[in-house]
Amino acid sequence: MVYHSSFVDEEGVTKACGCPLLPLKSHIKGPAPVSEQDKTDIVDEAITFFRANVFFTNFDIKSPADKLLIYLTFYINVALKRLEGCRTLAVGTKAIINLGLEDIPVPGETGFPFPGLFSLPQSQDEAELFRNYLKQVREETSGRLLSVAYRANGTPNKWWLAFAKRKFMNVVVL
Amino acid sequence: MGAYRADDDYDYLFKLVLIGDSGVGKSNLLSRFTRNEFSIESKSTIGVEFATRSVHVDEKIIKAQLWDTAGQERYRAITSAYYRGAVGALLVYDITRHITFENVERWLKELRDHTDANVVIMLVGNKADLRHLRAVPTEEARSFSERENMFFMETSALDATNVEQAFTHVLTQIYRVMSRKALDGTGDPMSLPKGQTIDIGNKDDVTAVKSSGCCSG
Repeated sequence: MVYHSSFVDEEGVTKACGCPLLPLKSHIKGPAPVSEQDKTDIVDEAITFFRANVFFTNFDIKSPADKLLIYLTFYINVALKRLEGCRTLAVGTKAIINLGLEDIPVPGETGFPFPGLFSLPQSQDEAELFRNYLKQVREETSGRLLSVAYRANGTPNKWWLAFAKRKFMNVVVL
Repeated sequence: MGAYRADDDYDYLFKLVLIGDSGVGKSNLLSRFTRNEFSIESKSTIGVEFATRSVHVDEKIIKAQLWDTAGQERYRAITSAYYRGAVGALLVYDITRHITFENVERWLKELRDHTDANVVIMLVGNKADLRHLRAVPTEEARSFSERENMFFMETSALDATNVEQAFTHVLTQIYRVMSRKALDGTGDPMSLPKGQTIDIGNKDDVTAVKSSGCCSG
């Protein structure tokens, strides 16, 4: 049984490509609404559930938020692969920042990992809205992932870095 | 040698970030301080670079971890990871281009959004060797830095004027802030307005780790 997102209520939530633009506990620039600091957000769920969910080759989707959870689980997997071999937090930070510089594909574009998971954008505006949201949520995820992948003294947490070797839902990571 | 042990001995590791508009000389300030090198070619930084250098303050060895990033918007990425854990910042402008000084306010806001209130900030007016092209009067910058509670120094990465002094001064002040906190006996992590917590003393002081000889992994 995979862990599902608790963000099932879609009342008042803006969507792009069928994905709810869920609130983030973040001051990073972007379209996401700001969540209160004491609440759990979708990034917390993705990180908390990652080490369980990454083992599943099938993921039954119970709500649109689960689609975002799948995307973030994949992103964490990609990020951990970049952190593999980075023996200090500083080197890991540099690798994760460089990952953040890469172009972010949206549904319908080459390189988007889950064709069919999200609907295709109906306009350029929708495509850019989703791209900006993904950029924001990826950046927030990266920052928090560094906090769990490395210990306070800057050395790698092997229980996290080991998951770089997993492949999520048979998606090939280049 | 254990795989994860520090490659050199030090008492404290301080992360400093360099910020400012594109072309003000951030990367050359970094290379001058860490490698005593200056490059005439003006290539834009893409992504981030970091370098380290150790200095002595009050008989302590302080390893400075200095981060340099692009000033251009299109090459900038993951501001949160870049600033995370920084205890000092050099906010650089170019004395020959007034617009880079005007943009200091925007950089200062970004810095304060992403770092702890106790971060030590120095305003750095670089390219001081270009006297005939000066566009930012020294007093204008000094007044601004005093208003904003920043240290201030004019430098030249080209002829090495004040570069050593600028970095050393920031590192010394960071050490003073930490020492003061230690003397106050407040071991509590400093609370950030954004809900994050940074305990600079515990996080950067690896003496306990080194003395125990532990090896992670």
